[in-house]
Amino acid sequence: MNIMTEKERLFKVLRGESVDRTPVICPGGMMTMASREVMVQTGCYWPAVHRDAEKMATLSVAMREKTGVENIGIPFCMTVEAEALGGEVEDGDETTIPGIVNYPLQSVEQWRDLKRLNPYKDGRLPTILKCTSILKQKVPDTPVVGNLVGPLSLATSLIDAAILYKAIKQYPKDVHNLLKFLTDNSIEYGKALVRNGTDLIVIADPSATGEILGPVLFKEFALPYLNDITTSMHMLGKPVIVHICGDIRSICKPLRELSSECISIDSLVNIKKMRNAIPEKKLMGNVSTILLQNGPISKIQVVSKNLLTSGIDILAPACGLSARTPVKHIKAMSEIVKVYTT
Amino acid sequence: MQMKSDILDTLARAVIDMDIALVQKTATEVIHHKVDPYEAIMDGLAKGMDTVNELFENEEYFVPEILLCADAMYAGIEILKPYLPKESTWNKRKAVIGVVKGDTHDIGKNLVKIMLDNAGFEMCDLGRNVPYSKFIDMAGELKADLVCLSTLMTTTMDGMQVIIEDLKKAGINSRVMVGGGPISPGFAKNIGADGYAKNAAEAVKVAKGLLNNTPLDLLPFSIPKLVYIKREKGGCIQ
Repeated sequence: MNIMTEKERLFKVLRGESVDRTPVICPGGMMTMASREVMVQTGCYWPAVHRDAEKMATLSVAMREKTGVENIGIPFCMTVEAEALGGEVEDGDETTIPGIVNYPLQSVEQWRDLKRLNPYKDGRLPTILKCTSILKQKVPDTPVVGNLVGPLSLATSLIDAAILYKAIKQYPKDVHNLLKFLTDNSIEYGKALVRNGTDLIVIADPSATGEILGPVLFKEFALPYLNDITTSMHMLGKPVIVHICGDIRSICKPLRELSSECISIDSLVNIKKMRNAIPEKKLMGNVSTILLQNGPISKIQVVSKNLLTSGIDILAPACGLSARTPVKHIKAMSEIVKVYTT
Repeated sequence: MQMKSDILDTLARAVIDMDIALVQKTATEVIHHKVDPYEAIMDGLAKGMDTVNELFENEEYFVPEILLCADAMYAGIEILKPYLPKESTWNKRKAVIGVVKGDTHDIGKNLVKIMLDNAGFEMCDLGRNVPYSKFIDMAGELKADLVCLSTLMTTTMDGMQVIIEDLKKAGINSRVMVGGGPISPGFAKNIGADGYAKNAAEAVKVAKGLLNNTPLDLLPFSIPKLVYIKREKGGCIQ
């Protein structure tokens, strides 16, 4: 019997076909996949890596090799689209991820002043595209994840979140216009990623959590735009995973209407309950990143194993990894899938 | 007095309904009809905000609603402020709040700020992505009673411990409350925080509890809840 490649296995799971065992991934983007330990080993350090396609490729490939995680995840932050649209980014340091420090918008209606992004020209987008094509050559059997920021979260990188959330009630039409514009831009960037070799798309939408929006507003302001991006990526033949942060129990119903194959969930959500609440979606998650950072290894193993028995479809960290996370801790998670089969 | 209770009810209702215009109109009526402005704040605006908190806890209101209710409340306070008796001074319980360096998520922090503001704290908001030293400097300078540290990301959790240690080293005895997505009560205890709050509603209870147990010169909590509102640029209500 042929042994599945990492790519085949992940795709089969997302298509609902049977596989030899559960895949384990760490998507990158908002769900950052880097450890300082590996930066030291490769000489590819944050923050220089964020603007250097070669170094980004080297670090991400080394992360996969050292930790046993079965994908490549770039970039190491969630600021590339916002930067390309005019957000000012501070690159952080060796263990601090880049963040937006200045918003280009003061009000939602100013969205008209935003310039459409050009994935081949603006900000770091060309770097990410270049890195993607390098990875495509280097590791053809490993899934390369293309990371997009969900429209609502992208909006909160371009305008103060409080202004945006208030505008949802005050000027819903303008908010829809802004989100539509951002969705179109993300699709443009997503297409460019696919053209350069991205195998699947993960959309992270931390600002769209049920705790902030509740089910009604989630359905109106997050769901349709996530589905627009998903549909566009499906038309290019790429599967999609959507990550929502925080407690999503209140939005279980609208989550069932997501078009994505898979939902990635945060550590405070119980997988067994989720499994029953959203039976039609593949579930990814949700090893606590705090546990992954602090250990002990024995507990990481127990938690990972419990997730497998609870019916997780793809084992993954619940959120972005701290760059201080020891490699052996990540390895403890990724090795479980190889020794333990349900 | 029918009219007074009508006015107070309208204020509370208008806050709950996020109706800034009605709050402003009614606040003007407070002045015209010589209703005690202090009472209008306490039994009108703040009472409305209390209901908003309950709606939030019951998951009927979410963040967009809370933010707009708070705006409505502040709009009323803005009008009533000049009419509050000048001689009344209260001890201000000061709190420094911010999102630790490396994290630019600040919606949780903003909520906690609104809630503590409403509970009578003078809030000094350092914003997001705040360098560690700035917490120490401001806590020392203001002799803050409370320092609130927030993070939504694992990547910035370690910073909290650094800040707590540095506060101690600097001899600042502010109480420290931490919160945010990845933080657990166990983690809070481990890094030496005095309190942990799961969400913005709980933050108020925790903050009150922390400060009631300190020897600091504090007023009991029956004292006006809404007195120490500090707007972004404006001063405090005296």
